[in-house]
Amino acid sequence: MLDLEYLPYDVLPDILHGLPVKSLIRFRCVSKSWNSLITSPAFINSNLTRSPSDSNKLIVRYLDVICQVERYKLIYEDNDNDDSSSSEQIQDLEFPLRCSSRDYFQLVGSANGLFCLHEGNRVILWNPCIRKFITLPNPSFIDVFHCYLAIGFDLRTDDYKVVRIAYQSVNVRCEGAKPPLVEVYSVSEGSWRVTSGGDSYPHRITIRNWHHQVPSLNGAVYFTAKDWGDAQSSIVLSFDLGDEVFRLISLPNGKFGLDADIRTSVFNGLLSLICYGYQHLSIVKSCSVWVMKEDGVVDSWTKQFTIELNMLRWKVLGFLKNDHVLVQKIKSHGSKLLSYDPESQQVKNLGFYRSTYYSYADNYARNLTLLDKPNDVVSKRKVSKKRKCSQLDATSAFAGAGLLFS
Amino acid sequence: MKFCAVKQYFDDENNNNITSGASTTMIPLPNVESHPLAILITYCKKHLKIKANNADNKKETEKEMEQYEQELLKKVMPQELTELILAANYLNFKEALDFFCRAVASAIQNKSIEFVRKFFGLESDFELGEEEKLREEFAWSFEGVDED
Repeated sequence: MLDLEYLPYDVLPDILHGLPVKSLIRFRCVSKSWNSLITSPAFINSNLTRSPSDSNKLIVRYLDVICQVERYKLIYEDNDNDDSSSSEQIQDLEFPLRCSSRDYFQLVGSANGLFCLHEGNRVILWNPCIRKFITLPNPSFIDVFHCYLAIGFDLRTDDYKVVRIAYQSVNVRCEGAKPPLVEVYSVSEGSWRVTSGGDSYPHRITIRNWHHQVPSLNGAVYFTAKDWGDAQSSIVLSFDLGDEVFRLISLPNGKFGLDADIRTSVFNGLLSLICYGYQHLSIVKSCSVWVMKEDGVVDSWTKQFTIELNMLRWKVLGFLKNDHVLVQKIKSHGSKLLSYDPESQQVKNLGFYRSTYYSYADNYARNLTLLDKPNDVVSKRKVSKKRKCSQLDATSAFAGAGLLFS
Repeated sequence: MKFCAVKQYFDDENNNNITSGASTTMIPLPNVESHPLAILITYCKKHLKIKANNADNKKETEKEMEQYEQELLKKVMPQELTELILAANYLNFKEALDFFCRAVASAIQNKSIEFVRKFFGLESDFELGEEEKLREEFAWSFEGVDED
């Protein structure tokens, strides 16, 4: 038996950081001081870096078209099989919410494993690690033309923030358009705050109107955007969560026109661009990954590698810790999740799901954020309104149902 | 250097310009018992040896250290862990401290609240109903817990 009285005060956190999340949550009930310690902001923040990482786990979101729900799973990256799920390698993550108007929430993005989802003005932060979610209070600007959301981590204040950019004009691409209204939600403050961010919003720049998760890196979020001014090209627009200022990051001259199909991402800790080249409509010819080697230096944009796969429809979902690429191969009767090694060009099958639409896949990050927040009450939607999930044959279901893309 | 407290002692000695011709110096360590100190010295020597053997291969070092640590854990009683942690903390021996903390974490993970309280000699100091409320809120974390 350990005599806790004689242990130095700072040793207990060292012990607790080594515990799996489930045990940590449970041990809140050991005593009042343990509860205080585990839910303290200092402990929550340091746990992200101090606890042993689940380095080979991936969290995957896909849309189950048959049951019309979104599903989350934890899979192991070293899972290598050609048939569907072997049960030890895949774990279902319970998703506690139901969309009231649509079938699925829009996934805004995730920062260190904290997910942000929304439907209309209802914005939710969900931490699958501790199975907790909070609904954000209503934002200030409701009647707007269009709005964009992004979630990021502000390094300086160890705080997760959601930025909401609301366009006031229909034609933001035109000269003289009103600047957007910008507000930021901070998890630690628990409220929205209107910022003067709109003042620094550059003229004639539109955020690309296509639903992609916006990555967060070094305390800023990075949108793919279009420059309708003199440049007439694609560009990257960043919003710094610390100083709340917009900045433009130019792309290599002449390489990315207005209709380039590009997406911002993070590769190996650096800002990156995923760029698709098409043969016909949705048939992907190739995909190149560009990386900005030096922060703020446009000339440092380098084509890191090109992916050419002998598949008709596929897309990049993200990058793994070992720099392998997560790819979704889309087939009529379902999707395959693959990992691609740019060096060896080897492709590994990570699993097959009876859905044509993966929405998200990323390294699983252990995060305790929201642990100190009061629990949100789940409003139970009438289940009878939705078709109950049944053991339908996927092929026949697809023959009848339309494909849903969100 | 591993035993940072000891290094500090040497540094202080040098700063005070005490020339020590003798190859052996007596360093007082009033807060460390001889038994845990012996274990720490063995641990330290082993760590340095493994590191030297594997030179640049960090992975091999880690692997061998893990194997050694597993063996060591089998010989150490849970009760001794307090002393070892105290000793490692006093000597500012980071690697050993990390290891013993991990050992304690391994010993208590997936165990029940009652087990943990007994392990650390703690008692519940929650007010009436407080603990029940917490248990209800995180009922899922009580599933699959090891039997006492």
